[in-house]
Amino acid sequence: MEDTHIITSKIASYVTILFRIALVAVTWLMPMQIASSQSGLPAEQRINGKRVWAAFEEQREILQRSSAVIYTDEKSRIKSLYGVVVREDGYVLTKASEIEGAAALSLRIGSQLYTEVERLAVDDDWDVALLKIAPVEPLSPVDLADEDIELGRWVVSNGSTTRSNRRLRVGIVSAESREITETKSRVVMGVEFEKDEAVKWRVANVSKGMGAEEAGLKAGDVFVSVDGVDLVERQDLLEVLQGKLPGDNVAVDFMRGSELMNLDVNLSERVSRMTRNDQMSGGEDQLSARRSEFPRVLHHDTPLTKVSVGGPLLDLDGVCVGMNIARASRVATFAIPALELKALISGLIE
Amino acid sequence: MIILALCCLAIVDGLASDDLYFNQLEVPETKSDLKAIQGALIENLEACKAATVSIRIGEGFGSGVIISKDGLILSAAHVTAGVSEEMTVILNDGTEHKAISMGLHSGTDAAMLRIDGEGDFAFVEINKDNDYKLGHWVFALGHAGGFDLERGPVVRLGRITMANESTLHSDCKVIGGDSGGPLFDMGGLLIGIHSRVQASVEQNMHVPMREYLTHWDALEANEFLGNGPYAKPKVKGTGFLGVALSDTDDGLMIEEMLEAGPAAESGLQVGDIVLEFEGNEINKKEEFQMLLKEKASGEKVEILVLREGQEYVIVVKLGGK
Repeated sequence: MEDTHIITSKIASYVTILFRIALVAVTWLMPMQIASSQSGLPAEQRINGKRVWAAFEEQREILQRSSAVIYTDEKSRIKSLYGVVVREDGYVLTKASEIEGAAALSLRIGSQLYTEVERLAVDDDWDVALLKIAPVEPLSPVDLADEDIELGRWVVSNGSTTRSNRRLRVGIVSAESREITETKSRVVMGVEFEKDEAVKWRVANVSKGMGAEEAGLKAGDVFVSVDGVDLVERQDLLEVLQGKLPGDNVAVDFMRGSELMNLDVNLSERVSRMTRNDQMSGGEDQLSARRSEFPRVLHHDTPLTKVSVGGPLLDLDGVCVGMNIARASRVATFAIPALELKALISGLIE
Repeated sequence: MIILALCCLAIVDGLASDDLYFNQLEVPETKSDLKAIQGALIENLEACKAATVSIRIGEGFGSGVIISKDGLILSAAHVTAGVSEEMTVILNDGTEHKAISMGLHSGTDAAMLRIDGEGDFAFVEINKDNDYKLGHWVFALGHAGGFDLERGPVVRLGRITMANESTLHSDCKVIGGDSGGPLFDMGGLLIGIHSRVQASVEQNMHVPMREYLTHWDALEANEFLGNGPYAKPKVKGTGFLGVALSDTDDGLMIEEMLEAGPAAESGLQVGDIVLEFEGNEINKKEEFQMLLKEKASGEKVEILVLREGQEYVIVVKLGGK
C-alpha cells in the first residue's frame, strides 16, 4: 500500500494530525486504486512514457553525443550521475558534491569509456566540477543558449542509460528563475514558538535536553532580542542563527511575566532537515544532498533523481538551456542557466 | 456566410478540449505536435497564473483559484478546514487580502471561500461541460511549498491518467502547498482542484469541477457537507481550556491549570484574573462557562487577563474534551 498525502504545506507539529487524516484517506482510496489499474492511461502514453519519449528522438541524439555518464565505482558499472560535454578537446562538467571524495572516477561518452579522468577544478558557488579526458576523437560539445528559456517550454534531460544508449526524461520550465537560499539555519536553540502571528515570539515548547532548556528557558517566556537583534519578523531570528555553528552561544533577552531577563543559550545541530514535503518527495534518498544555495536556477518539473542530474538541459531545438544541478523536491529540478554556465566554463577552464 | 458565422462563434467560445488536435492523438509524434501542446500552454499560462492564489492559515499554506471578478475562490476542504473561518489570500504580487471560508464537502475535498471586501480580481472560467477525457493534456498551477514572491506560482504539464466520478488523476506533479490549486485543460478552463498525492510522482489527484457544480448552492450557503476525512465539523461545547476557575474578591481567577493543557500552552498563568472572553466582560464563573459552551474544539478565543497590575490579551486554541 502506498502512502497518500494530503498536500497542504504545514509545519512539523501538524504532521501527526495530517498523517492521521492521510491514513483515513488511504483506506478511502483503496477501491479506486484497484480501478486505476484497469482503466488508467497506459504508462507508455503518460508524459514520461516510452511512446511520448519517442517524439523527442532528435533531442535524445544530442544527449547521446553531448552528455557523459559518470561512474565512481572501480568497474564503471554503476552510474553515479551525468555530465555535460563543453569542449571538443575533452572538458566535461558535473555536479561536484556528488563525486567529492570518490576514490575512482570514470566516464562514458556515447559508448566510449574513459577511465583516465582528471579533476581540474571545482566551483563551490555552483557546485560544479570540471573534468578532463583525452578524447579518442573530437567530442560534440553542447550548443549553449544565448538567452533564458521561456516559462512553459518543453525541456529534455538525461533519464536512465544503458552502456550504449542514453534515455531521456521530459518536463517543462515551471517557474521564474531565481536565487535559491536555505530557509533554515543549521543550528537550533530547542524552542518552539507560538504559531499564532499575534504572539509569535512566545515560547510554546522547550525541547528536552537542548540548549534552551539547559539555560532555563520555559514555555510562556516571550523573546525580545537575540544577540542584540530585536525580533520583529520571523525572518529576524533566522538571520541571527544562520551564521552560527553548533556549540556557539547566543544571548537571549526575554520577558517572563513582567520581568526582563537575559540568558545565554548554547546552540545544537539541527537533527533533521527533512520537511514534510521532502517526505512527500520520497525522502532524502531521492533528492540531491546539495539542493540549495545557488546564485540562480532554472526551475523545471522533470522528474529526475539525485543520480540523474549533472547532465545538459535541452529545449525542443536541441539547444542547451542549462545544466541540471539538483533534484530539489517531488515537483522541482534545478538547472544552472546557460548564461551563467558560459561564464562558469570560461572561468573554470582558464 | 453561415459557415463564417459558425467559425466566429467557435472562436468566441474558445476551443473545447476535444477539439484540440493533439488531444486526439494517443501520443504526440512529431516536434510540431510537441510545439502545439507547448503553444497552447504558453497562450493560457499568464491568465491562469494571475488567478492562482496562495492561502495562508496560521503557518500552513494551501492554494486556490479565483473564479469571479469579486473574489470567489475554489480550493480544497482540507485547506479551508471549516466554514466561516478567517484566512489570508496572497496574490502573486504579494498583496494580502482577508478571506472567509464558505461551504465545503468533507467527502470529496471540495471547498469555496471569498475575499472579504470589494475588488476587481483576475479570474478564470470553469469548464462547466466536464468534457475532459482520459489522455487529454492538462496543466497544474499552485504555490508549491507555500508562497514565494520571486518564484511565483509553479506550472506543471501532464495528462489525465484516470477520471472517475469524484476524482481526477493526472501526472502533473503536485506537493504540499499546492492543495486547493487549479488544474486546467489546454483551453485554459478550470477542470479540477488539487487534493492529494500518492508515493509515485505520477499519481496526483484532483477534485473534478463536477463536484463543485453539483453542490454549488450549498457551498455558497456556507454548508458543511459530507462526513469524510477532509474536514471535521465543529461541535459546540467541545472546546476545552484546561483550567479551574474560582470567583474571588478580585474577580474570576485561574486557580489551577492542567500542565501542558491549552491554557498552559497559550501562556495563561495561575493567578490571572479573567477580565474579558472574546470581548465580553466577565464577572462570574457562570458567565465564562456559558460563553465557553458556545465554542468548539480547535477554535481560537481571545481572553483578556489581569496579571500583576497589567492587562494581557492571550489567544488560546481550545483543545478537545
